Amino acid sequence: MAAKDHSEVHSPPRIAIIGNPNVGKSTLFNYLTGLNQKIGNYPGVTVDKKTGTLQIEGEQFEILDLPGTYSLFPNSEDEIIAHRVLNNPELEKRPDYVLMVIDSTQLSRGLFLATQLIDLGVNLTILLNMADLATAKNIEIRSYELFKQLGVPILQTDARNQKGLEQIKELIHQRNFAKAPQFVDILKVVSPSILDLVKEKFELENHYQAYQMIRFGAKDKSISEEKRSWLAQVLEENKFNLEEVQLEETKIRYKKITDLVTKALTKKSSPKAKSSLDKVVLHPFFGYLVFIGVLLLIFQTLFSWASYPMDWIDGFFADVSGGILATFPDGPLTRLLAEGVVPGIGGVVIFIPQIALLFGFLAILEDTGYMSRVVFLLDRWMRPFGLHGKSIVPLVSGVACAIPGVMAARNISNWKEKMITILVTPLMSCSARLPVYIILIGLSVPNEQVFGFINLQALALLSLYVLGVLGVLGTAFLLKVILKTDEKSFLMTELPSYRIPRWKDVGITMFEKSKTFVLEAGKVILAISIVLWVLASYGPPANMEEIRQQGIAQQEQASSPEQVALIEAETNSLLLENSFIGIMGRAIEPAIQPLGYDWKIGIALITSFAAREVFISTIATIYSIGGDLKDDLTIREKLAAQVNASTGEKTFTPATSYSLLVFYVFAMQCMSTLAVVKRETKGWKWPIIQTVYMSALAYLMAFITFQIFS
Amino acid sequence: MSCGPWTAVNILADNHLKFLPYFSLDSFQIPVLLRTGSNPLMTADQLTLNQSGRIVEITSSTLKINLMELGFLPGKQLTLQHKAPSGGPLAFQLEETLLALRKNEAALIRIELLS
Repeated sequence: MAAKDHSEVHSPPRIAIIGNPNVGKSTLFNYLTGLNQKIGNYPGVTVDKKTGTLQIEGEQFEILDLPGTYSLFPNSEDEIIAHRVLNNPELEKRPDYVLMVIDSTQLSRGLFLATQLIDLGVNLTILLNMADLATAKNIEIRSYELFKQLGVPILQTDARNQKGLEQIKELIHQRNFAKAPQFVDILKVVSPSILDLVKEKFELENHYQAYQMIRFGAKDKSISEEKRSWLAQVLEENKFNLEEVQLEETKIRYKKITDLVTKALTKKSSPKAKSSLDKVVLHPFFGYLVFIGVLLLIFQTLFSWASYPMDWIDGFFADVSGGILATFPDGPLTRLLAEGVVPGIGGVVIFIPQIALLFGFLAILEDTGYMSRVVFLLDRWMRPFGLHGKSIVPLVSGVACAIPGVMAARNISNWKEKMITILVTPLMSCSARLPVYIILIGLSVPNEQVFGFINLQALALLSLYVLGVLGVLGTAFLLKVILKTDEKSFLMTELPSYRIPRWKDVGITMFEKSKTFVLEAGKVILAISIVLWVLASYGPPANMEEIRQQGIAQQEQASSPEQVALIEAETNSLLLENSFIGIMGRAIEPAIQPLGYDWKIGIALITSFAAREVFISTIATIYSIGGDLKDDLTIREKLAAQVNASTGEKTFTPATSYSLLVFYVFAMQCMSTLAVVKRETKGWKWPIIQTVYMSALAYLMAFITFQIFS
Repeated sequence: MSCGPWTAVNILADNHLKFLPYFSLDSFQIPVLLRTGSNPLMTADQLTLNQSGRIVEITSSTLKINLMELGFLPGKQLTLQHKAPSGGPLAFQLEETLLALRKNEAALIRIELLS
């Protein structure tokens, strides 16, 4: 029964894994490929293309992990991808073999997709996975009976407990796949004339493939314009009612599956009782308490664990920069390397601990089955703002870091809800804002108690977080009105049985997500860092040279090491003032004056576009604060003493500080987020819109704040 | 319609359903036979906690096919297990699975109430 009719087998042979969501597909994929995985793109959609390689006795196979789907109906991008891979050789290389994974406790639902695959004429093997769960539920499947009826090889496995996995490799090695006879005769539902036409036009093998092409033709934007309009015309002429046909097919298919399952499955137990865990977790009151408890636990762990590796990374890259400066002769190239490239790479790597840990936690929550319970509890509260229950994951992640938040938004299938989530997530106050908040609050808010127990500074900090959340809700609500889509929003999600997480899969997720971030977003971040470094290091050559010479001259006259350090700090400050960024800072002064900022703060605003925390180091340089930057007090005292040269008043009045705080609540000021949004939306359009709206919002809110307090 | 087939189907549906969970699907194209006449018709969102119903039909809608592919098929029995507060989603036990639906999605599922 091997496939020799139409397509030659690729070299290496391509094997696609397909199945419903939550059936253990990824575990199987991870088992087969290990870390030999590659994440790429399908053109025109946001679905990741996961491929990997498998070696069996020196022979190589290419494994493709398709997104989880319930059927081959065009409901979402995931299903369009499944269709494209299986049925559109023009766009994607068709796999030679297909492994269909079925949850043994959900046999009829799995067979729905499996029999559609059979009708497509793919070379198929069915894995009845989660055999342990089926046994626990007293479900017995006679796989030989299924094999007799369907005509494709059937294998019972338990990927979670590593049972039957060796046989899968064996089966792949022996190419034990089969093309089975048609399960549902599509000619009973659709007239042959139209199917023949489509079959010929797209050079397809059978009528079901032609029917699939009709189904997806209009939805898949990557099919040529000519073919799409041809298809639309044919359907129009034949008065083809797709919805009716699909329902009819569903009925016939499910009827046949029911007959089949009745023969092949015995179930001894009575209907399942309510899970006692769910009585608490899904409780209308305690459920929310549990959720808040889980969040606190995650953030507690995240902040205490991530800070160590982040400090190491910070220290390591500072050492490397220092080492380069000390080792190589001073010159533009050395400085570019030490002050532009190395800190740029460090700026990418520094995010890895947070991304990896956050995705680790998300994977655990997902794997245990808790995540879909959270979606269940929160959907009602997200919908008024144009968000989906699933939006809670990106938003909550955003408190740590917007990057993993934006990356987690891809689980939302509805385009509009996904876009709104991505656009508002960076408004949540992330951990990088914290240093800015702390310095400025320390500067402007008295460290006093009100009502005897509330610390004013703590209250100020809390207000900033609340302001961020209000920004999220308000913006989401506006976007809900502005953005348009024809897609219908739906929840319809399975609440899977609680399970122990698979630690290996959690580890692989952490690794893969970090890798994707470094490879995809890292390029953009590195590029922007270098541009910013050039702008901050170079200025009109004559001016810069003069300042440098003066600095050297002064240093030669200095009597003590302290004085040398002071002069060096002042020289650096002057250099920054006269650099291109300094010139830009002066140029934007008229625009930021209404917010209460002078041109020095303007410079810090521009440099901190790379990342918010850069604000602190720039401010430190520009106000020539030498010594240890980590000492908040030094910076704070210096800033408090600053006087505006033109007005003679203090630079950092409370009004200016409040205005700056509010500015940082709303402003984008993070190129890493920008880079990730570009990656997730596959283009520059949305990240630019996002940066513009966030900057405008920040400007407006800071303006209002300054006017109120000054 | 004579009395014979009515009784036969009802006995099977009531007594054997839990042992042969897929049997009732045979009546796919004749859902009217599942009606006992005495049980009230309603939609799934109208169930109260721990009440069960048997699906009679899915109302036509763009979501109909999504519901059916998840397993919401005429003849199957479902039980409302959990309700999120303030008109939030509903969780139904459908055979071996716990499935969450929004209220408007559950309203598409026409059922007869089982006591």
